Amino acid sequence: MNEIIKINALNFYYGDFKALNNINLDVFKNEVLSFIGPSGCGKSTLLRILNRMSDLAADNRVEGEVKFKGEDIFKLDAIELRKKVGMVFQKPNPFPMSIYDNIAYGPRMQGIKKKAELDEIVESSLKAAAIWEEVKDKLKKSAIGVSGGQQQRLCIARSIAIKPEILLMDEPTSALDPISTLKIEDLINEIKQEYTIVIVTHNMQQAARISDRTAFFLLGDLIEIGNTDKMFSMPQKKKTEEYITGRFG
Amino acid sequence: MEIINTATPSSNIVKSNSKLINTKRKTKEKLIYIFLGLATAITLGFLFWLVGYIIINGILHIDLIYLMPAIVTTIYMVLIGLGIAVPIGVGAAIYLQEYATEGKFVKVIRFATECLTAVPSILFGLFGMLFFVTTLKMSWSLLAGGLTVSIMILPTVVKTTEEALKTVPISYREASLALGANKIMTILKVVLPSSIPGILAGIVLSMGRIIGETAAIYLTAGTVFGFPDSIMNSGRTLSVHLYILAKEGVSLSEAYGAAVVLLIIILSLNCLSYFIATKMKKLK
Amino acid sequence: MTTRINFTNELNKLCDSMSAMGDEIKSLFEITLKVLIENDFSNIEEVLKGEERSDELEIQIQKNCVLLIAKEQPIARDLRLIISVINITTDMERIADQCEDICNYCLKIKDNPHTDDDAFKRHINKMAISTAQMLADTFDAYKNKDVKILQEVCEFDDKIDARFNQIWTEIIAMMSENEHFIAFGPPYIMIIKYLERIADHVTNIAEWMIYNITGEYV
Repeated sequence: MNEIIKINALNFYYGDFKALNNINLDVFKNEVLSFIGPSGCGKSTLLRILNRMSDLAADNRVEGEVKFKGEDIFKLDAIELRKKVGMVFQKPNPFPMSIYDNIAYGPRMQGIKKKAELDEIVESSLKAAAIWEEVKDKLKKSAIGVSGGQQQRLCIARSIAIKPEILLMDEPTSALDPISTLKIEDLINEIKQEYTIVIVTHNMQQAARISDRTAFFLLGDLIEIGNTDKMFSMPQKKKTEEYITGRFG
Repeated sequence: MEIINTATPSSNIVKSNSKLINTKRKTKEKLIYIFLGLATAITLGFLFWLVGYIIINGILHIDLIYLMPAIVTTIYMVLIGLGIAVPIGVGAAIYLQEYATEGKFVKVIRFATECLTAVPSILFGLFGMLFFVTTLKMSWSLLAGGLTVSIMILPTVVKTTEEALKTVPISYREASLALGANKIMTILKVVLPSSIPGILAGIVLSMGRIIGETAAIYLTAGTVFGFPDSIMNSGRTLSVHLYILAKEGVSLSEAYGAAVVLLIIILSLNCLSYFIATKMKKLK
Repeated sequence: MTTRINFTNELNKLCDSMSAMGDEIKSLFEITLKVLIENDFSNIEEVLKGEERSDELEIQIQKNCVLLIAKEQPIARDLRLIISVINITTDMERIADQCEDICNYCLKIKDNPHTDDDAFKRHINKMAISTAQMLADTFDAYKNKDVKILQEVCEFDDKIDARFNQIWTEIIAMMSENEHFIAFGPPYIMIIKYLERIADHVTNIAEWMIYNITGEYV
């Protein structure tokens, strides 16, 4: 297995509050890794460190190292890192502009100006996110006008458009109805051939359905990480079992 | 059976009690309702009375050709005022909202801006007259007037722009940053475009203030009635014209005519800002 | 756009592996028939191997079922399918066991083959063939989702039971008449008992298939 991300003895603080405690974890190429755990367990914090969105938090402090393909991400330029590590958020957040402009936003930021090239990126990204058929006739219409589930798939397409290697997803379906949720899950299953996906989810069943490996966090500690099959049929740690069987949390 | 019999009258008491309370409450509600309705009626009544009075007295005395110099001067004043205040105000708002970290410094600036909004316009006029007209030797001119009104509307522009920026969801900024955009690009391409309706509404509001302003302009731009050749000329805006016509008793009916024009301009500006605001809501 | 593509694929795979296991059981039973009816012991090794394989298959399929329940939270017909697969594989594994047992008893009476000339043996052969037919019908009916045939299979079990009782009496009678037959009686009784058990398992399978298709317990 080749690790695309290596996390070593990572501590993270918001002010005096220690949000993550000595995290050691690898992310393998082309796997779907899910982070589960009760609210405030640090799973989202860890996810946001991976593309340095954590920089935005006021008064934050990091100890330890996170390596992306062997390079320390805290020494990389955050903008360059984010081109390689895309992110999809909890609430669908397409920009209030046309569907086309939404998808072309990232590529344009990278200096791609030729219309033909942009057209191609927009089409292939929308196809990859399995939403091309639904929106191909309204590319010039506002992205705000489509349904929540479609908006989220647009956001995934928008992230795909910058051709990242890793896609981080922060509870991507928590604002969606069950069918839209299942569509997103199918989509994740489809795009995992090409991307490495790290997903934070409050929905344990979702983690079970879509991920190859699952990591369970509790109060800033990584309690257990392992194959999802094993984790959900026979977890090693008592805490994990209690959580996934709904006994606490 | 007995138990039920004794229970029935007491529950009747409770019922009649609650009935009493109910009637009391209903009367109270009715009184409040009448008071609120009356307050609204009075407000609307005065508004219609005032507008109607001016229109009835002035509608037959509108002489656009005669008023044209004042209208043109007003437009100049608006352009100069906005031309100076909008870039500075929007820039300051972006700095305060997007860059400055919340601290004492920012709090002081915010407080100062609020205070500036509450300062009476005559004080701006006085300052303008002393500083621009006298110290900088601009004499009574459109420039001096424009600079003065721009200072006057600056707080409004900053405030409305800040509010508009605040309404842009953080998630837009995060999405943009996560797509590898830097902060400037995020502000220029995502934040500002999404807040333009709000900023525009603020600008329209400021325009209304400039057009309606009398004291500050009277003291800084002078009262020369005519088409100004350059911004260093003195000029008389519509409001100032109206003031002079009324105060000097030249012609009350002409004053009413000018008032109607002023009223129409202000009303259309208000409609415009309403239109922009609804459009903004639709976008959300 | 259909949803849960992955889950659907997994369920299809589950059905396929159940059918594959069914095919193996059928061929095991055919070999057992040859042993029993034609005294042909040439392929008996395969029955022993097949029994081990069916154990493995059962565990493997049931593991997949557990994973699917844990990971996909199946409900309605998806849940019925998985539950019926778990039960059907258990019954199929039992059938494989009993094929092995029949073969072992056949080995014990190998040296004195009874043929169709003996009435009781003729009846045993008929019983075995009917049971084989039940097994084949069940899997065919499942492929075509034919509930009616499955119900017929369930009803047919009564006939097998009747035949068991009839042959039982015949064997007991022969044992009391014929001293030489006393040693053969018990093995044959065991054999017909196993055949009767196999028919029961086939009935169970048919019942679970009906449950899978209609949701009704039979």
